[in-house]
Amino acid sequence: MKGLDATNYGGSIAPPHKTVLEKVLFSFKKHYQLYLMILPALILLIIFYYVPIYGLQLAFREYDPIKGLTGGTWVGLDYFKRFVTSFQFQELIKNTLSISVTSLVIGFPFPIMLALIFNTIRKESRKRTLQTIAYMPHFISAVALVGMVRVLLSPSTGLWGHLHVLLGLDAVNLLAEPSKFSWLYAFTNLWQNAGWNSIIYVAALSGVDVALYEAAKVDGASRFQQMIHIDIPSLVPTIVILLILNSGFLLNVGFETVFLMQTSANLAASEVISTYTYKIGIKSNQLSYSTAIGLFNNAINFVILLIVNFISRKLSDTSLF
Amino acid sequence: MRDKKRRTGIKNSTSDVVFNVIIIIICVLLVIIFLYPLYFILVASFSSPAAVAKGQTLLLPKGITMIGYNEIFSNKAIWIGYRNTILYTFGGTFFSLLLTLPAAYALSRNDFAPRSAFMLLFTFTIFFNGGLIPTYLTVKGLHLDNTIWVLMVPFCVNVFNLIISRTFFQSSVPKELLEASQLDGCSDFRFFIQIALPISKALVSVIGLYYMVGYWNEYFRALIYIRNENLRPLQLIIREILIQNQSFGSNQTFSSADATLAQKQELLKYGVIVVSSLPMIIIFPFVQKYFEKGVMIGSIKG
Amino acid sequence: MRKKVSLLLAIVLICSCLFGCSGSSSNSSGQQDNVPSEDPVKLSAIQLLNPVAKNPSEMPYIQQICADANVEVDWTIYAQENWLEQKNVILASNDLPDLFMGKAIGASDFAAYSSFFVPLDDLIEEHAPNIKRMYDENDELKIFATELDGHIYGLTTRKGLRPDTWRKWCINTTWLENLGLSVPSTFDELYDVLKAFKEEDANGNGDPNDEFPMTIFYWMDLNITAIVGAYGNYAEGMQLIACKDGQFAFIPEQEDFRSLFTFMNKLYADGLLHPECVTMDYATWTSIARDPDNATCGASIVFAPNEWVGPQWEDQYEIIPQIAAEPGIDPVSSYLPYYTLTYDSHVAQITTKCENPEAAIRFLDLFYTEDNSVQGWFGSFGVGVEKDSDGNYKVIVPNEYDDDEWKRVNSLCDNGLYYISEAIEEQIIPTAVNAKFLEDEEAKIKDSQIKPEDGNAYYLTKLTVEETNETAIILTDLKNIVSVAMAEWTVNGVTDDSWNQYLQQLKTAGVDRYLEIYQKAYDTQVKNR
Repeated sequence: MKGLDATNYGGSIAPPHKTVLEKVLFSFKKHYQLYLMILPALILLIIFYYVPIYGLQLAFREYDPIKGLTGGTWVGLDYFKRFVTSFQFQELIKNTLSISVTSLVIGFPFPIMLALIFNTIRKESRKRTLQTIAYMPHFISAVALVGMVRVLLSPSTGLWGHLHVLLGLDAVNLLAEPSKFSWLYAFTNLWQNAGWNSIIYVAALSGVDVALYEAAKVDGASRFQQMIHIDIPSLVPTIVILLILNSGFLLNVGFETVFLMQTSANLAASEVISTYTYKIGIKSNQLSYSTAIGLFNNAINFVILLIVNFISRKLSDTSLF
Repeated sequence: MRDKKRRTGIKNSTSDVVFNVIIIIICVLLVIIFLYPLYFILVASFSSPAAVAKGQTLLLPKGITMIGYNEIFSNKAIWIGYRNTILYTFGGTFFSLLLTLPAAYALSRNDFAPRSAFMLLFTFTIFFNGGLIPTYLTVKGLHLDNTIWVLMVPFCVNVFNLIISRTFFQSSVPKELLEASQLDGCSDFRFFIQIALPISKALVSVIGLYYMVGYWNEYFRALIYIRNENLRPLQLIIREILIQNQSFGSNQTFSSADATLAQKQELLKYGVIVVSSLPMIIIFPFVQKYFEKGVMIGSIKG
Repeated sequence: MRKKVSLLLAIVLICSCLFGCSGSSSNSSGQQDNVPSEDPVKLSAIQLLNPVAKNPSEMPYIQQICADANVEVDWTIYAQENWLEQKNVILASNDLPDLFMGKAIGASDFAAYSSFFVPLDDLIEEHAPNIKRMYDENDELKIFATELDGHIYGLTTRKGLRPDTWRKWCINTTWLENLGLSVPSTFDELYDVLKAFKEEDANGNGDPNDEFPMTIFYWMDLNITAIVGAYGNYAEGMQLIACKDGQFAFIPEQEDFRSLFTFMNKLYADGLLHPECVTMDYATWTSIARDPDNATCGASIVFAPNEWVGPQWEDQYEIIPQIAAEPGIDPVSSYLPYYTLTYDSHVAQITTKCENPEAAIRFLDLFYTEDNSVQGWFGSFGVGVEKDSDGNYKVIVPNEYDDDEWKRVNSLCDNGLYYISEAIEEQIIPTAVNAKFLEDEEAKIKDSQIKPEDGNAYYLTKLTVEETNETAIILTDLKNIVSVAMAEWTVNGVTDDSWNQYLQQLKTAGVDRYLEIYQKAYDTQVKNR
């Protein structure tokens, strides 16, 4: 039903001024089906994510088990102050950022490149095989992954060692070098997730109209040029959104893999916020303190996300909100 | 079909040939890089752990032993695990898609005024979480803990996937299509189901795959919310098998038994990967055909 | 028909008689007060257990205990690793069972959740004769069990036939014989021995290059502090803190520690220390030593040789006495019975949710009888241990099982409740392996052990909740600093600059406060005893 929406007219009559309430009701009447489509997901999130948010107050209270999560004495920002002025703070932030930025820089482009490469393979069976092989590492648990990394990278008995012997060089113990830790983590992560992360880009590429390629070929474009001028632009919205989302996880280096790769020798570079919180929280029962650290972590992530989102909105048409 | 056209039509330029060669070389390298460690894991799952640790199994297995697999399959619970995980995976993915896709579509509509506000509401939950204990208390308060539903419903909406879906709908459902259908009096619902979804087969299969793998690998939630032995998913049982063969860790009484068990655990941690990931790997090709090229043929022609 | 009915009736009557009569087994000491013969009391228990163990309800000695105490226990079993993640959830959501057992709630957990637990002193006094006997006979154990408010909340245990030192030097004596060397007793001698291991064909397989003279793993425990006793001052302290003559000291800030790493650096530089020591984990450390073809490792510090090298090579290795840094120094070894070697604290608690604490304490008390204590460590009568006519207990292990594993299958073992007094220890006949292990300690280590007062000081000192929280955080930071420094110094050596910088870091992280808290608590509590 077309209704008396002001936009249907050429703009010669000034639209009637609406109050916010009227706007809301109007939107609801016009798009009530869209509202209904969002409703189930929204309800779910409210019940299971927003309701439990009261637990965040633990970061501002001294935990008292008898009084429950909300009954402890209010201490305000004490735990946050303690964390920020603590001995480990600077190192933790530095390590976490270093590891995650390196991972992002190394890990972000690869899935895109993989998708582009897969897209050029014409024979379906070969393409499917290659994709499956690339996506299998995603299923390896952190425990097995790190176990394997340790064996393969051993300078004496591992593949790493053997390769160096072949080349006549001395093998460096990568797990012992703090300066190498970010790279080690980034490449391990890349190996494990590049194939998996490329799936979304492959799917995006599959939506490109075939006619575009035909037209380009007629115009004399080489396959490489087709990739640059057709494939990549079609991926831009996906790339931007994923980049924004990833920036919101900069302070979130996952716990398991890092924890397993820590050694005495690299600890100065491998102790990140999540592993520290584990040692404090789970092992020493400091619930309030670890909640505060988590909240601090997430708040910063969220702010970064908002900033990157804002920049993206100004620079391109794509943004989260 | 396109190939034939190429052969009879336009000739390959040299740059194309070079391009093809480079692609082939890269692909070969990729196969080696991805495949070798997977091969290593397969070999390690039935070689002697001491040999593995000493790098003696880089090419061929050594000290072949099936203890690891025996341990895994002699545990009857593993079949219960498979059964439950299949239920949770398919059921959970169903609920996930049911809730995520419509919401993502609604959020992708430019004429839907409150969409930014809703996006903010959704995205907020990725960052700010009340924590494990309040969430547990909420689930418990609703009497959902220790039921088959807890692993399929409460957490079935992944906002990350929601955002990706929204992006997809935004860029692949052309505005002209929507306007044309509105002129025909098509409701939002009908448009979504009859037009937007069919166009987005690639998206549905990718997001479906993401959700499926997520459910398949779910371990932590099961650990916290499931006590009933018969409801345990595969990952939980596999972890229990691993733990059964693990020493208590540092600062406990190391004994020779602990250390021998630690050896067995080395073996098992590779074996369990094979056992637990094989089904997902087999499924992939079936899903993959949905994101092949040409899915969108015939929607809009000039 | 009537005959059958009366026959059936007779059988039923006889059976119920037998049931009623075959009540308690031979509990020579600790007769229980009158157990009312009503319906069994239902108790729920969370029990931490080694994953290889059977369910407690399938262990005969526990079935007997339940019957004697007239309780029915609903066991929920957790493995240690799973428990860590679930513990906070269960405690914070107030989902308490009647009993926590198996060290589910350790000392630091107790500090955080103390209001959930019931003080046990009166209950013990009135209903638990065996537990009472344990505390009457052992003043120190009572101190160990008592919290700062003067009450006992967590039950303690005493194990039998246990070593007192945690980690000791272990060396391949077959290699020593092959090369005509004697057991080293100083660092210089150790150096020469390791050099010989490296350069010559110690394991006799024709290849002089496949031996690793010394392997140690640097992770997690910082167990390398066990070597620091070489300087005669401080022995291994599990939380990096040691007491000497009533004064607490932080081991890693002592000059001895610096000297030790100068020595370790020398070993590393000369290729006598496995180059991946600073990165290897426990699993790799044991794997390297268990090569299927040859013995490949020369020396290390271990709890027991077979823990390290496994059953295949354990005959080649022996524990040797603590090595001195220089001739003329009397080296020291740790003395740690209270670090779970002999004594354990907070093994079981009764929660405020329990409606029948008298029944609960009676149930727990039965674990502490002499017979049940022995069965609680080795396994039930006829399965893990046998009692002969002289009253001696003989440990039995079937051939195909490792004795450590067998007892963990059949009893609560490390997670159990028992009081094996010194008197009972004399009556236990251990397996040959275990006997040798204890003899070795007696012969080689005992002389160098530090004074019991010093060894026990840390464990008998109680802290308040705030102090526990504070030290937990400080210790995490300190351990990080020490780990990094140890690795750095081993590879690159110790310089004045790096040592001073390290000391400065320790100070900033709060090492003085850490010592101050313990010293003050110790002084106050010792004075009040």
